[in-house]
Amino acid sequence: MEPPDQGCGRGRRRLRRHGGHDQPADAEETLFDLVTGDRAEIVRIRGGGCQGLRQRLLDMGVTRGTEVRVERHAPLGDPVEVLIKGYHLALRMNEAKKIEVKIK
Amino acid sequence: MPFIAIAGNPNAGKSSIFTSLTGTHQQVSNYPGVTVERKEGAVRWQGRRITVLDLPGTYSLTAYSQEEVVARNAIIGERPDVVVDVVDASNLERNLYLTVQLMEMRVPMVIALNMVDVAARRGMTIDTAKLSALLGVPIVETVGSKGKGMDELLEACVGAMDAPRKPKPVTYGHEVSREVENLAALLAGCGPLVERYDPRWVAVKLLEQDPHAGGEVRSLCGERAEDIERAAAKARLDIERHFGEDLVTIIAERRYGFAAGALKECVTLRGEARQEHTDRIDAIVCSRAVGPLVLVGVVAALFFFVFKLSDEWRWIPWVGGWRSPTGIMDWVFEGLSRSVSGLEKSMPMLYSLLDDGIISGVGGVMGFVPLIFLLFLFVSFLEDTGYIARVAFMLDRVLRVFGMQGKSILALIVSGGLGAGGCAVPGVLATRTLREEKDRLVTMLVIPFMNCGAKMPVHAMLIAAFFPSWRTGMMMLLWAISWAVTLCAAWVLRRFVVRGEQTPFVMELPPYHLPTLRGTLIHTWERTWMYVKKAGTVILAISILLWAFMYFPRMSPDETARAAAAVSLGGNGANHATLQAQRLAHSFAGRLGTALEPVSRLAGFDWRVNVALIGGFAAKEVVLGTLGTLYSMGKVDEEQFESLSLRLAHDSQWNRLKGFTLMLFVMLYAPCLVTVSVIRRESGSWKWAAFSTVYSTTIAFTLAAGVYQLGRLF
Repeated sequence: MEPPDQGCGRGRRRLRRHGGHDQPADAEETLFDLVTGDRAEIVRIRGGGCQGLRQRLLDMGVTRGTEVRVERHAPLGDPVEVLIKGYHLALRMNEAKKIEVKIK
Repeated sequence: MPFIAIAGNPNAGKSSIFTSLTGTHQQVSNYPGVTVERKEGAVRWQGRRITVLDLPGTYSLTAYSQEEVVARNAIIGERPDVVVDVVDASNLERNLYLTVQLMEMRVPMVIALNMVDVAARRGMTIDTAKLSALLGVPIVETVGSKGKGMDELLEACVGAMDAPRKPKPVTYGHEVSREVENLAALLAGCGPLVERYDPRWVAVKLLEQDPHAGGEVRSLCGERAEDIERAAAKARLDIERHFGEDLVTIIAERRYGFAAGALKECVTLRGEARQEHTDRIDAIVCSRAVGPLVLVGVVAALFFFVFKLSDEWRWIPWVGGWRSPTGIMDWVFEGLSRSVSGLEKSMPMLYSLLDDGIISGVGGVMGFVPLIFLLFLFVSFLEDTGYIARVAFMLDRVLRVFGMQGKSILALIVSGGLGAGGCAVPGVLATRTLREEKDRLVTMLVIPFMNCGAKMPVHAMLIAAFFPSWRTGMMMLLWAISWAVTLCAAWVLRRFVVRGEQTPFVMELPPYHLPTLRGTLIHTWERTWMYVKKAGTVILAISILLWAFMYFPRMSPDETARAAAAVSLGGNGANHATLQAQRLAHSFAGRLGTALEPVSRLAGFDWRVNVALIGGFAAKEVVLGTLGTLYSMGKVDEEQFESLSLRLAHDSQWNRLKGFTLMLFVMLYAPCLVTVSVIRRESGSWKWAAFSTVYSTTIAFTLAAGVYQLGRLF
């Protein structure tokens, strides 16, 4: 399972997207970039060394084409809570970075 | 005997159905080698006795977590006659994902469509007959928390037993299904495998590169295994090339596709399905401003009530006035102790074994029972309502830095994190709410550093002796040190001992609901009983050993006479207490204490302190009693330590520095016996129990010696 830095490890935090939807919705956008209230569609889960995470996310219903809505962030901004397939799912921002989305 | 197994998602109401079926006839144990709880019960139905096994709640049946492996192996290995799949009707799509995986295994199934009342309230209408026909599985509507639909469920199970019928095969779309069929045809030629498994299921698992399935094929199919594996690898490549995706993703998407298809045909929605009251509660409870305040309030209330109700408030009428539950336990064991006191003169050794060894050892364990019961009651209530998941959500960021996670906070606080009593035993048990094995282990290993209630009297005595005017400041300093050591230790352990990638934190925040009192009570009682049974036997054995260590070898009559003579020469008359002190010094413990002196001097401890610390391994407050004996003070206990305090304050051997290092050491060294045995139980191995003892003592000694040596410079 080592080294841990292949998709499971920590990465530096990017600046969160601010303001409206003026910037072009490129395929690079991830769940990490969304703000509370945003709706988006799952594009894919990024590859990398961490198969466990991918399996887990898939099992929890994070599949292509599924709609998610960001409900809230924890008091310290991480983890994030989303509404997906009619239920509430919490995941860490590190994990959110692995999920590419298309903003609606 | 007929045998049904209950499977289902966490929070789908599995345990309420299990409890409704089996009532109080349940047995809780652990699956061998893992820390997953195994719950078994029985129910009588139309003259038949049916065994019911509650499988661990899982979202899937891959080999992702211990729970999933256990659930899968139980279905394969124990061959239940029927698998009851509990499905949360109000959260159908994700729940059906597991149903699809159970259908893949092609075992006879019955679906308990649970929480139909909640689904109806959310505006969902489910065409049960149609869904049942679509899946090829009988469906029974239930409301587990109210016990509704249980008769129908049992009837369906018996029906499925008498006329076993396999669920419909799952389809994965043309390309994938074709490869699955081809592989299954290959596997069907392998006799021993077909006896145990459905070939299609093994085919899917081989495509998913499931480690267990691969192993089974290798061991059961002999020389054909190689061909099969080659065929599987080729099929996997073909599919991945065709779709441009990896296979795990494709299969998962197909399963969800199957679930979504069924949903579309059988469920009609009025408006958008929303969890209205949950949304409203979460808007307050998880908000940035109010959320943390609510958390502090809930935790403080938990702490307050658990400790007040179990020990401090005398609220139960009892012989000779009002008592607390712990008080009643003490009363019982004091009574037992009195009842054997007749033996003191005639058979002193048996008396000492019974009184100092067995009664105080077992009594010590039983004294925790009310505390543990109440703690479990509150924690399982909070867990069942769904609040614990929110706690994890809010605090995850903070505790993750130190290698723990949000839910660890509960265990930390119960163990004494608020600085006003607490206990590591229920703390270790509270780590059960953590599903991630490594986070749980780290939490378990660091919580004994917290200042529990048993360390308090030792601190109080030493503070009274050496820092009488800085009482509050000293207590706060000790509290801060305990948190600092706990967090640093967690950080180090996660980095160097319990290594490996952090389990992804992907957690459902279940809708809030009010658990039933009956379910919570049964649950609490089971866990408490398990503690009494298991911890009781281990602790009994160890306390007898510890007793023998402090009792043997006895002084010979000559030595006793000489010692008594020496004492009476001292002019105080035949002082019983002094004789006791000499006996203890003569014992193995006393000798070990003396032998350790050259080392312990580094931290400023003489042999007396060493012996007291050895005794303190049984329970930290024993340090007081043993020091009392060694300083010939007679009985010293938690409430009356002033004499010992005065004695130490005026002893030229002692000073503030020594007092402080002793407090530091008592706070950090080896967890007490009960805690160690609970760590052994909860971690599933003696290795971690032993590790916990050794590493904490090492840290304690290093710090104590460091402080002592530094302090001597000034």
